[in-house]
Amino acid sequence: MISAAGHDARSTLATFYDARRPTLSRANLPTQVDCPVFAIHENANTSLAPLPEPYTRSRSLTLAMHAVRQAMCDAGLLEHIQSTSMLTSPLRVGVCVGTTVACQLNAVSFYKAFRENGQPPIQPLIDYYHANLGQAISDLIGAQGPHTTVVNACSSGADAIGIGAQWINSGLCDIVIAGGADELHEVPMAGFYSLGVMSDEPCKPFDAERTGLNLGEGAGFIILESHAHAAARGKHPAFELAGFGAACDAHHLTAPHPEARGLIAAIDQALSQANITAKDIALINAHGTATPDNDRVESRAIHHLFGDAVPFASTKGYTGHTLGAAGGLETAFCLLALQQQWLPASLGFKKRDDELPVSPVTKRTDIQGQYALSTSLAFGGNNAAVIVRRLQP
Amino acid sequence: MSHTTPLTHTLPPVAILGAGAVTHLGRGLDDIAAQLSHENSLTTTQPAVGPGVTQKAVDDALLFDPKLDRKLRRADRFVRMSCIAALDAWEQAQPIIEATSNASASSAGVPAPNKVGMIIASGFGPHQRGFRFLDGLLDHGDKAASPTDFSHSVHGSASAYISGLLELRGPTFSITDFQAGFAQAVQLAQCWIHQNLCDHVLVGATEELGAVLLSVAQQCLPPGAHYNAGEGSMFLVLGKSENQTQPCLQIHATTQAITTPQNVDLYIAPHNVYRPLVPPLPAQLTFKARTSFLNSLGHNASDLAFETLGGMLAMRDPKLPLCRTQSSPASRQPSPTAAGVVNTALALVSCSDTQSASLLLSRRGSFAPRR
Repeated sequence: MISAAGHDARSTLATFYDARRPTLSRANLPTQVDCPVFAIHENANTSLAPLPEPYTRSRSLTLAMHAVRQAMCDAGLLEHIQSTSMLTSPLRVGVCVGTTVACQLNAVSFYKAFRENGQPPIQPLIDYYHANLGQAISDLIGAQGPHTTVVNACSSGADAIGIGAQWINSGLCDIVIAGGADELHEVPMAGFYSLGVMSDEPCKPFDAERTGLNLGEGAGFIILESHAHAAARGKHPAFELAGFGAACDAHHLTAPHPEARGLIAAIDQALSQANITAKDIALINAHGTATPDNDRVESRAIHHLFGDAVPFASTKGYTGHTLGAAGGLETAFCLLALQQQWLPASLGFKKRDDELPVSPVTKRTDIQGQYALSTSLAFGGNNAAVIVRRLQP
Repeated sequence: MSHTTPLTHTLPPVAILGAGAVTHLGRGLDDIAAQLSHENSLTTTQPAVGPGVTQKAVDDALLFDPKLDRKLRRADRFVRMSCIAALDAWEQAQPIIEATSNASASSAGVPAPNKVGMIIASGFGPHQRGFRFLDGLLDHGDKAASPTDFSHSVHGSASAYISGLLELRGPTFSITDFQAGFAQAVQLAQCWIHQNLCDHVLVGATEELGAVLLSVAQQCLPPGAHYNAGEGSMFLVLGKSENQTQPCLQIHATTQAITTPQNVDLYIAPHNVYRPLVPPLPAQLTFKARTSFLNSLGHNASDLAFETLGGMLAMRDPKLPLCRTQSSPASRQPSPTAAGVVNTALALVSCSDTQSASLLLSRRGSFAPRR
């Protein structure tokens, strides 16, 4: 994982433990939008490894590969599938990635040149072609199984993880590298600004005085593996993906259904697939973007299904809204929370909103249990729910 | 290397219960088939957009439908093409879904909205709307761009409109790839159907033409070469094959290394100046005829979807003339003569340049061709 909260699991945990808000800054991008963002800063100890041609110019892909390498190392896989001692064939290794920015043709200078003389430079289009994350990551690690790039806006990362599980459950794959990645970019910044949902102060998810989201960047990936294949190579996974649900509001292009119809259906599906009930959930990593609509609707769904019995937090106060990466990062954060048995403080929340039936945790909170839920809501009325389980050692 | 499982696992095929399409040749499979039957449709193109580049654009008049116009008042070309194809596919599937549901007495003929999924594939998505958003940004500044253009510029805009129009509340995914997206979408639909996550899945692909990409296509064109660009949308409604009481077409996708039967009637492979037929065809594959429908429909990042459409039309009408594919050093004969005719029971649609994604069309039951 990589985000403004940390370049890996250890540094992210330290940030969460201390409830330390990373430094927000004005984006180092050619934009007049001056809302603060959660950028990833490199230094001597935490530099991003450059990618070979023709992949070198995609920041989303660079972030993705940083996280993919960590996840593969953690799973005992080598960086290049075809050189590992895996038991399976590269044909049974899939890659499923969620993103938004990497798959939008947002090249402003390219388009400006077209407007000026009808002859845009072709390199930006070549770069765009090579920045299809599913294809590019497959190529870079030598996977030859199914690959897909999910472009479901802000639920893309969670949906990619769900697809990965479906490939394994269908018998198509033994291993799937799944998650999401997105970079900060001036075009979505202008877009979210135009929608009036960006805050000019640090975001306050679920707070009565929340004023909108801060954009962020990052990547979060997990390695999904069939139990049989993990056992065959002598691995004892610490976690399993217990359930996934996805449902559409069928309501509005940008606004969630007021009664959280789709989100409730997605969580219900995930609970059912995990064969558990709401009372088995130990914690929720909520989408919690700090926009008025999202937080109102999401709190209603949480209250409807869990009452006020389950502690929840939004980690957007540490990472910003990383769009297509959010579902991947936040699933990984759920694994950290289950491993540590505590949930980080929901940074930015101070004042309860009377319209919201439940509120997030305000301090680091011990939890007990095996199951964690991560929720994602997106443009187009897409909703996704991922349930992960900590396996007994 | 030892393998714990077979190298490739194939899911059972799924039934095609409905199909809708809007292309340069018209709206709906009947209109498109009728146009394909006219030999001149194989060669007619719209005016060249520049040296070496022609386009097969969808007629604007096809994109307006009185049933949809109020709901699509802010929609762009990409969304309109998608909605029209999806709606037509859905309406065509309804009687079959109702008959199947009634036969099983499960839901009084009405599909449960949360058991209908949707997957849309596109290479470039609604990029014209994206450029319109950039127009606003360049003309009026970053702080004065249009929120409507922004929200419509994302890949998921079409799926949002379709789910609203058809009240679909199952999983709704947009995916992107520059050649295999449609095969990826069909394969995922097979997963959903066979894991009982969905009863039915609306699967489609949409691409739109635009001056910017055409300009790039022209810049990249080798001297003397020709590129025929196309646009359109194609949607299928898929369901479990074993539930079908009537003969139907089936579809099956692979996105790994090609795992096809050895003998097919029709091999359909898009190839053009940017996608020559390399590497050669799989050694084990034999076929009675090889063709491509993209001389008529035009090329784009969702070639596989439009070739699949052509394959379906060829399977329902053995008299449909098949276009001779251009010869290539890597291609093997036989190929149909100028306007070949093949009685097709099994058709393979494949990515020509990587062989990494393919779709197999077959008949279930004693499917009767139309003529």
